[in-house]
Amino acid sequence: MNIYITYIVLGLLLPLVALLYDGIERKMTARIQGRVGPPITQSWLDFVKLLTKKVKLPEDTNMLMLFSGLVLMFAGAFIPLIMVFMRKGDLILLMYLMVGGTLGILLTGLAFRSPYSRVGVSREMQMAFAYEISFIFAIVITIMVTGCRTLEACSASSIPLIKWPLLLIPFILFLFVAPAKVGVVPVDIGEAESEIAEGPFVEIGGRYLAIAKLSKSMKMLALMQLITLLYLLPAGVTGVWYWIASFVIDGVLVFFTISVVRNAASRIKIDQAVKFYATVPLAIGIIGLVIVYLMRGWGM
Amino acid sequence: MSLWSLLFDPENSIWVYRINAGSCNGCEIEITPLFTPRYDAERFGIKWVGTPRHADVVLVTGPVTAVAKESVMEVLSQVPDPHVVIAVGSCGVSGGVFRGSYALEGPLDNLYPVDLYVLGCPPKPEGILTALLEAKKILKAKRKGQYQEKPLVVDPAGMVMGR
Ligand code: SF4
Repeated sequence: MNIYITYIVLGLLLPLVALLYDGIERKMTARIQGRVGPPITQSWLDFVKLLTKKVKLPEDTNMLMLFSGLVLMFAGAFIPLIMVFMRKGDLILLMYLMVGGTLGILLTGLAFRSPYSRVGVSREMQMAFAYEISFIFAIVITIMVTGCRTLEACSASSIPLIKWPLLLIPFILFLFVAPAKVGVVPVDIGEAESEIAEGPFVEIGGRYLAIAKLSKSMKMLALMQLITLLYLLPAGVTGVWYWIASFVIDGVLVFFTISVVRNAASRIKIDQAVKFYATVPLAIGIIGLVIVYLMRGWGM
Repeated sequence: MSLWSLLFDPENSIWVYRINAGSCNGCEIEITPLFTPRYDAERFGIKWVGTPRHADVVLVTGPVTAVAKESVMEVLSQVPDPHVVIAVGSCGVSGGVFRGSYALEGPLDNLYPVDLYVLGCPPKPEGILTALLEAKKILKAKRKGQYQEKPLVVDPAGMVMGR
């Protein structure tokens, strides 16, 4: 009985925390640029505002596609979020769920006939092909090094110290993949706000857009917590300290992988991004896989 | 800001879409600084959006030329309710230096109800920012259904007239 209450409370609170992290990220970006920036509740306020607006969709919208896309997008962010914070579940399943979130974005964009959303979908798809393979490599290497597939067993706190240098490889891969998966500036090519007006989301508004934005924030927090859990959480933290440590490390990660990257670089073109993801992270992934395989042969 | 407005006031989030209906670009140049460190409109929750379907406030610059009219009306018809339309610059308000030209269909208030006017050629960023903050109150009134059609005018120095 108790566990269900925990799940319900987490299911209600974690989306709010995700929106708060989004607001913190915007505040940090503003501070880096020398601005005052919005209050940290700004993303939550945007969410509330979007819920109060009337919805106006184009007449020829494919509603089935829109709804299935939104449901997939939400599920692909919400379930991983709960999974990583509860440390319950399977890494492979998590990987598939997060890919499902990307699929949701594609479906949402395909529900409209606007050329902007079509361009966004096509770019999103190319990006997904480019970075998801590195994401899969990162998870596979982690599983090979730690020899476990469930999140509880894999968390950094339960892994012997000698294996930590090997975990550096998937960690670096994750750092490469994180901005692309969350969709921030140097590689937010599919949703380029200033260029193709948020790509797949160009025609949706009101509560549908609220769900899309919420999913994006939740995806960010889930990914950060996944990295924290797998590689960064110090050994032997449990109970309240687990939550405090997670949230602090998540914040630091958001700062370094999202805010700094976003302010240091301008948007690159789709061909440059695909070329980059198809060379550097992929090469690291393949070499890492070979190294880990050989090390396993030596009994590590 | 009170805690309530920090947490639950939808007026603290304003997404702005901008239409150029034949302006000389002077007004655009004055709108852009709103998002630089000096004016920093984001601290009031104001954000740029690239599509009318996300917008709460629409800034229209320029007299509406005959060529631009159709697109302007089409774009305005895509903005979801409640929304506020602001005519920016002398051109948007009255046609400005272009008034009387054969190529004009505007000014905008002949074609679409305008809630706020910003004077000046070009208006100052202070004036535009004041207009955006006034738009919060209009949006609130529209959400409650108590809006009286009484357009306000913001002068170049940021004073609100006509209340
Ligand atoms: S008001 Fe002045 S600056 Fe603005 S579009 Fe007209 S002529 Fe240009």
